[in-house]
Amino acid sequence: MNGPPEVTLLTEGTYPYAHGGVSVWCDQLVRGMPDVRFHVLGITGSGSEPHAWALPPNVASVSSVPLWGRTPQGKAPRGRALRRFLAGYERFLLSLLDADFEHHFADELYELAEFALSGGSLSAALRGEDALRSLQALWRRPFLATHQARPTVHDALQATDLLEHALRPLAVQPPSRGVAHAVTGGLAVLPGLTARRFHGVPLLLSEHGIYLRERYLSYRSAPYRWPVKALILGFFRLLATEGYRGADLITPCNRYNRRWEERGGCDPQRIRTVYNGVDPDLFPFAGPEPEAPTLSWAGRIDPIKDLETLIEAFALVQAELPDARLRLFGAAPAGGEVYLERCRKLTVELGVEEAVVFEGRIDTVRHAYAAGSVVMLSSVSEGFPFSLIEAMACGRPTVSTDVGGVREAVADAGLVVPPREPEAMARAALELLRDRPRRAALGEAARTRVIDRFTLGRTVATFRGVYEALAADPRSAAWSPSAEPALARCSA
Amino acid sequence: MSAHLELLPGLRLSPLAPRRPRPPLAAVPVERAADPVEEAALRFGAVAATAVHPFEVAAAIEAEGMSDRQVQHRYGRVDAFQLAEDLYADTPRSYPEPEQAPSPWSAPLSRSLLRGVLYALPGLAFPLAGPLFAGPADACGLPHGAFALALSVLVHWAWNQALAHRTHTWLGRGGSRAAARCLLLGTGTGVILGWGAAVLAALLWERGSAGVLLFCLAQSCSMAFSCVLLVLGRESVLLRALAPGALCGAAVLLGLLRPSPLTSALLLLSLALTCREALRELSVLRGRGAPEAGWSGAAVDPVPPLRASLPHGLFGVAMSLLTLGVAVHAGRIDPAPTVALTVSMGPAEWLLYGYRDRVHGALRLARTVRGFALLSAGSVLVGLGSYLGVLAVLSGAMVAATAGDGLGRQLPALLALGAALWTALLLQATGALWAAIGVCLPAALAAVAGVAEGLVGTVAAALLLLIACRTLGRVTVHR
Repeated sequence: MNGPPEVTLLTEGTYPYAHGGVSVWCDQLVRGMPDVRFHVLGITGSGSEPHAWALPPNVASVSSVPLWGRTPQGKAPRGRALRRFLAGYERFLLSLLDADFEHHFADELYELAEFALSGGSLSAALRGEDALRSLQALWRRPFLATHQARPTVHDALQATDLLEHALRPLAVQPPSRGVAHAVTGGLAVLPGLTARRFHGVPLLLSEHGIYLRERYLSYRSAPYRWPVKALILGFFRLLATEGYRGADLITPCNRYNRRWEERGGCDPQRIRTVYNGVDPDLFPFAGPEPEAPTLSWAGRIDPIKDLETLIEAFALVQAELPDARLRLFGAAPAGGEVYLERCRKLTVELGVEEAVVFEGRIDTVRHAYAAGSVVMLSSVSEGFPFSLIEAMACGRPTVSTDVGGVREAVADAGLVVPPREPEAMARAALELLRDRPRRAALGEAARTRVIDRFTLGRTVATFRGVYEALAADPRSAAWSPSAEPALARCSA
Repeated sequence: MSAHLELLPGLRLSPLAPRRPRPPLAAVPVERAADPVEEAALRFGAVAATAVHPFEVAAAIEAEGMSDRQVQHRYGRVDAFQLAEDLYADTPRSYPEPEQAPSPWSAPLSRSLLRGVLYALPGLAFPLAGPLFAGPADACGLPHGAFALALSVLVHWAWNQALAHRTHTWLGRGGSRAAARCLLLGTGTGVILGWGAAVLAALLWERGSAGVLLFCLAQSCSMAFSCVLLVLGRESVLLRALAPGALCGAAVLLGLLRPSPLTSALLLLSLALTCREALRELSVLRGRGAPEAGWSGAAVDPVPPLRASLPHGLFGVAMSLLTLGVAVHAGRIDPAPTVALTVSMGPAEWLLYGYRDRVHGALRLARTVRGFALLSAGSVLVGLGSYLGVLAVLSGAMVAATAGDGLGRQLPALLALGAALWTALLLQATGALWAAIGVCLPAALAAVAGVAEGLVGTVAAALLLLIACRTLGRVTVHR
């Protein structure tokens, strides 16, 4: 192996098309290794999304797999080819619907990929009447759980449509050399799996959140009947399993995620936690506190951030400290303005609209942390949040919710409260707002903790090592006790 | 939080459960919780009942902010996964029905009736134009100007079909500006083609026909600009514009008025109003035009080439030949059946919506592919039967109005033809356009060649019905 390896980042809905934590992380990796040639294969929506990030010169190519764009062209198989296809497709469906047949999933998935990569139109085949008949006949069989839910032909139509879109990434030519690095679970893993299967390209899987877990939560409110939900969630679950089984190394960004990965069938030897990092020079000590007792928050205004709990907690704080302020930095993503409006309304309902300021997007995010005496994080789901370690790097005390890797990040250098409990959050915020020496001590401890453990240099160096090891010998990159970060002073 | 995309455009799923009051037992000391298993079932039973896998329950437990330590402490299980497995195993499954999306196929009947009237209203201009058609008989003994007029109408109906398809293609992609441009160009070209056809016919078959050509020019403008208003769904505007001329025509027809310069002026006023309203609607559409960059062109299939609208034109030719053909009988013109057919096109459109609405329900009712095919076929027959009923009533009304006795004898043939027309429209609406053309065009040519229209209509209707039951019985056609 000469020189640094070539890396293909496999993304979904993030870099380089959108902002957000995972995108920041991708950008850090790409800029942190200017000598590594990167390619980006992004799963996108329409396929016409503009780039949200300026790409450095070491990004050699960017290509996209649109999930929704124009229906892929091509002719559906006929005759013997069709019968062969349907036989495989039925085994594939059966693996999604019946636990006893789950072991067929991987083989049939790769069969479908081979069909798509060798000139067949997977979309045309799946959209045909025969594929629908297969599903409708299959999931009504009495021994399957879906039988009880009495699936209709409309269910079959919806389920087939969802599957057809989900499988579109199988038709893209997977990377044939270097290392494939899926930066999220789910659909982005599909090209990684085919790359590994057909070209022997080593696959690295980094999970920030747990894709499967979030899919389960989202589909609770989906407008589908039970059989449709069972089929598509069965697909996501088995895809996760195959990703965990097939990846050469899995690098969750916190230890909390390991639970799902191990449950999903991943060999613990191949899981290695790599924490996110920040550049302490870009986030220096924030300087003096604001004059009025201020809580600040920075992020994307999105339901997952549960700003409602934060605003309710603030109302309780303000009842005790009338001159307290809450400053929220960040904008709602396109289409998410409804949530922003709901939050504004809540401030009016609680009578705190004078004290809560929606500041909008801010260019220099460290100023958002500096604006608060205490920095808050109210999310109901997180991986290893940048806003938290950035605030810690700035030497600000934090109050955050106990989700994902938050407790690992904070340990005892900040306060951690249960999610969705405004009273607990308010108690913690008041505790800090009333105790200046405690704030100073926690801020100091937080910055030290970041410099010791969560620097960008450390993250980038780890991934460089992983890339090189994977490129040289995929199996050598497996876990070793010395490589796993210790959970020191973590009061979980 | 991972980044992710939903599988379908427009699908917006939230990972958050609806906010609810804090769980009642959260504040109660652990020791006093009556029975942890019962409490867990109370708290997560609803999730477990509808879950598709224990992982879904585990995800919900975690989303409530329960850490493994809390699970151990409160429920005596190793972690959320074990608790989830127990809950999943102990809870009987239930299958809640999601909120039903309302059927997108409900159209107000009044609008469809209005459209039918609007299709036929231009016919009321003919009585006013009587003097213009004074002249020697055409070939085959038809009245003077009949060829020019018929050819012009034929070209317009075909052209307007293609133009409507093209415009809807743009509108469906949110390209208002492009749709307006397409309509404007198409209207201009339509006038030229329609009138050009009349001129051609006059050159070939007529003599001394300046009056006929003048009338055809006005009619071309009227048909072309009416098309704009019909495509954009401005039926009431068009009705108001056509009213002066139409009322006048009706008065002449009933013998209350005689054609005079005044009636001609009113006819021209209607024409002018139609043109003005159409141009105004076009400018509104242009103004509404979200700039084309605003819509994601690749989000939908690319705009098909112009030739994709050609079959719609061909279909229009076949349909208008069949519709106009019934008016010609043994060298004389009897407009009653054509008028009945034209007016019936309004209810026909409404019945097409009705079919789609029933299929919307059938898809959600049928549990087997065969069951669905039967429901679909039944629905086709209901629609067809209703249409034939409407057509029979309209024909009866025409007989009563014109005191003609020919129609009674023609009724079976007319109904057969009507059955073919409606089924062809159904196939066109559901995307099986080529099948409709494949049957209707030869049928139209046979009718022109002089084959009895009863025979033509019956054979065409039978074939089309067979094709409709077969293709529309496929579930994926209704995607």
